[in-house]
Amino acid sequence: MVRVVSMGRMALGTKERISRTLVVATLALALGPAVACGGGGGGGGGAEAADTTGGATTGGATTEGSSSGGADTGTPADPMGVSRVGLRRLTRYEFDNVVRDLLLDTTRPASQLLPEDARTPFDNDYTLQIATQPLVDGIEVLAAGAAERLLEDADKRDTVVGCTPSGTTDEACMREFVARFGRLALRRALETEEVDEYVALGLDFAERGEDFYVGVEVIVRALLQDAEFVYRVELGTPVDGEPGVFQLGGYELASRLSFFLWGTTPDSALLDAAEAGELDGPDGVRQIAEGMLADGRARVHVDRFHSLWLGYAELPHPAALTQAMRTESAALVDRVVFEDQSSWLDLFTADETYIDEVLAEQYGLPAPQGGAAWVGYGDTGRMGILSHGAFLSVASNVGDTSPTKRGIYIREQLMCQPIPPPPPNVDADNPPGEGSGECKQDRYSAHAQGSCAACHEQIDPIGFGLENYDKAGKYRTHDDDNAACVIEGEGAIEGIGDFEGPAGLATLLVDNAVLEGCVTQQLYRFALGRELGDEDLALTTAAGDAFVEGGLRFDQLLVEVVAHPSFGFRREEEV
Amino acid sequence: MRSVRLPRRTFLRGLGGTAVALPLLDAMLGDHGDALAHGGAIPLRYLLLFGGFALGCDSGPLPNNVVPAQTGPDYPLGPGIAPFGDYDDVRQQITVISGLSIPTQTVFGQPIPPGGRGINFHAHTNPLFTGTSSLTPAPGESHDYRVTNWSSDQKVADAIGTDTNFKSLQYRAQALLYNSGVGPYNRDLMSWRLDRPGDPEPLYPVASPRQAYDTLFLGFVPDDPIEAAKKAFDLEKRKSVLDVVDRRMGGMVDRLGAADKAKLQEHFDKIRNLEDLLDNLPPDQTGACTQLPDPGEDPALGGAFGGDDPNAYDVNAGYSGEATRIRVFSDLLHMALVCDLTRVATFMHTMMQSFMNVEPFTGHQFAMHDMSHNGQTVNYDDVIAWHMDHYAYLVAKLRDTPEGAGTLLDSCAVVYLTEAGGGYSYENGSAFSAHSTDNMAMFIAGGAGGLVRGQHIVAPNGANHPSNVLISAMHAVGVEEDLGDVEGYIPELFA
Repeated sequence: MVRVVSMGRMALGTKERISRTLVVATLALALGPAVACGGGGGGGGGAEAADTTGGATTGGATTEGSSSGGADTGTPADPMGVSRVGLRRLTRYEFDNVVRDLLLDTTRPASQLLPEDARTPFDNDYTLQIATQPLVDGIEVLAAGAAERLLEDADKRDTVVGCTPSGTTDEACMREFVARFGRLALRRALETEEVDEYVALGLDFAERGEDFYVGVEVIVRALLQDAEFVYRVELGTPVDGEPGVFQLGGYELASRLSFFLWGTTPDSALLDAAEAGELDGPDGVRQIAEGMLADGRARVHVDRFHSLWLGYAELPHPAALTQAMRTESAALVDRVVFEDQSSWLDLFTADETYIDEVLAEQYGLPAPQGGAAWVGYGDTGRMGILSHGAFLSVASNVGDTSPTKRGIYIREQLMCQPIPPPPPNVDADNPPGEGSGECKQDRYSAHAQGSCAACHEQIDPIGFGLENYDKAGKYRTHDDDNAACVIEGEGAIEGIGDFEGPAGLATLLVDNAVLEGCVTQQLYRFALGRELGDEDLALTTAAGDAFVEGGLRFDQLLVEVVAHPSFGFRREEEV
Repeated sequence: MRSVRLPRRTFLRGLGGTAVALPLLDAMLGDHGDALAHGGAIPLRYLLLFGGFALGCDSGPLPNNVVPAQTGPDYPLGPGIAPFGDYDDVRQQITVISGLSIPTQTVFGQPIPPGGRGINFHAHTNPLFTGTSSLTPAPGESHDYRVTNWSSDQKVADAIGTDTNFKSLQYRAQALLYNSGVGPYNRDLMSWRLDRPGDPEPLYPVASPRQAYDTLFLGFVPDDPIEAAKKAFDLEKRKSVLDVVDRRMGGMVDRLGAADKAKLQEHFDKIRNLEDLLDNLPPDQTGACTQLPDPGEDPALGGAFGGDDPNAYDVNAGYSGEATRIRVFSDLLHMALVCDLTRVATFMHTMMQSFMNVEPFTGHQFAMHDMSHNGQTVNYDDVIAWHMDHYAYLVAKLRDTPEGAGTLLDSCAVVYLTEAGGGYSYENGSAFSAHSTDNMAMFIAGGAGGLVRGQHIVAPNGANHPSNVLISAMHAVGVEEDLGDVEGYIPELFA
């Protein structure tokens, strides 16, 4: 059982109104086994953890006060706080971004050619990545296509190659190209013999094809299939006295920063900084990270994180509606995190929203003049991102909302409380009583009796509090298929309180300080590309503390994660 | 009954070679048209198709609209199999086997019967494809979906697939899972090997028709000499590039810790497979065996758009042109058989528990899976018929392709397996549920091994597991083995 306390300490420091037990339980649940349905708001490991106070206790190692020093001397602040990280393959999304950045190719070929990434809801869980034959074959086809497209566009080609060959087999230009492009592709400087190998390949084909750029083509193909391109390989330097712990090199840390903050590969400026030693030590990392957050790539990626976390990265709607919804949510995230740099909780309490006439119609709001604009919610009962069509489109069945699915999604992703699978003797596949003619709430209630009740009490009332909003976020007063079934729209989070509608839900979650701890964990989960475990608590605790103390600025949370002394280290993945 | 290995050189034409006027296979046949010129038999072929649907929705009715009301020939066509009446009455080639059942654990915690499944649905990949009972779920778990044994196609591939460029092919038309909340849990896989005891290995299907096309026709030489030279040069590039990738990856594998090493080794092995493929090109051929017209880019995924938009919103409306994908894959499979590039294939139309949106081809706004639970059997028939139409298309295409003295279909066993039947649910006690593996039906077409054609047969007691049909098809292609826990073929399937 994971014992977690310090997030409780963190929350207590600033939000006195919170029940410490609740917060602690919330976090313990996220890391321990799924809660047995029945206890109010938790159970599981929470009670045990609540007995402990003071510093972070993770697997017996105290991390309090250890967040300074360390990395400068080549030793992580607390070896127990170093997170396990295994070989990570670029996700399809990352692959497409890298192809865009390296080759100026915006066709996003990985999304078409490579197998789907599993969703957890994040798309980058490396423990679920499998090197299948279709993947490897797909990458080969992708590399060939991308190289071909590069040669077809002389402007792009010249930009990428960077020099003008004096002849078919201009070795100097080929060498220059390999050194520069290879460094970008493999995210580190190439050794001389590596440059030699690629140059030899390139010159061979330049000669055979009687064209310098045929040489460029095969080099691009080879680099795009290279182990160090396809995977984020972190070797690092072994840390004395800490078997299995490695300090990352500057280039490796640059990649960590870049994929976490930008969702793509380091650019040459970042690689330069790494090479110059500017990433040695948390202070340097902090400074570089702050600079990276000023880049447009960070804004896109912060939006990406929220869209994966809250589930709306893909929406089951026609393109126009989907785009309107995505634009709306992206605008709010961007405003809170980057423009206003205000409390991240404003995401949940915003009283206006960025919509066009499509969404104005959807929400029953006045249509803005001349395209999208910020529009006040007025008394529509909406507030913040949980009122957005994007979020309300998540976790529905194709035909209608599912209060159960919505409830599970909110418990698991927004509250970090895993819901156990249904008991073995339950058919969890069927919307209960569909086609019976009864009202939806009655059908669900009838289902959630007896042994099912304990679990459904924790789930369904959350969903029913959102039932006035259909699977595309449109307000409704009665069941889709039965006007006689008036939707009451009353919901509850058991153990916390009652609410009505998305605004009520947001108020409850904000007032009970559920979200800030959970998002810290979700963010680090996204950073690591796997579920969290004991050894990750040192970082989430410290970063979470700083997040709260700094007024819940999300951009600062990002910095706190990467500037934590353990972020520059790797614990070897277990077999 | 293994066919004699055809020397690869027999097929190779080489660059710039003279075209052979006749279909090559025919040219190589003996005078009687039933054997290859050097004495080998016309090869036998095993195809297994799958659709992720039940034979009816929750609440029924029984009998369903798939199983014909009468047995024997010229069986009546209910709405689910109405397409069998098309394609010049391809029904005459397709035998329906009804009365099939995968035995079910009736009370949770009791033993799972041999070849059977746990009481909870959506975890019966193992009995479906390997004839082996599902594993008992771990304490606290409701399902155990793991596969533990050989699938029928891989047993067949080992027996009759070793002489062709592709020992077996795996295709999947449903492009995406369409539901991020439900993991893959093997519902996207059909083919399994057990080369290492206790360590079953799935063969992942190709889901991109574009890529399947490129791979299948890798060795075919365009008629245009310029194009032919370009293709040959490209092949040289690919080989040399992979050579570098291979060498570097091999070096990197050795530098990693144990877990990472194992992961990269997996990738490395697949690179090696790809190199092997390029070193053993499918033969170029002529006549009936021709490179199909380029199918172009794959249909867009779920209506995805993005391109220059840095956000690249990936709109997922639950449908990626699967109808088109099925058609391309079907044509590729057909040509793969014509050219004898493979003799064994699995082809998944739709996944188990498919969340594909059926609206684009039925007009009903449902995910397939959800629809089966909404008691709209009349509409659900449209979904079944859509799958059956694609099956009928492929069978008819094989039937309409001459080979030797007969047709290509004569040497095939083309089986269609579905996810479920319909009947009493031990899960929830309802009288008719789509969550049932009772009252299943399967379809088999082809003349391999003397299979009957165009009949409706009720599976006899003692041989009414879907795997009994698979075993029969295995026997039809000369692989006289059982499958998992299930023994014996169905004698009624042979004339």
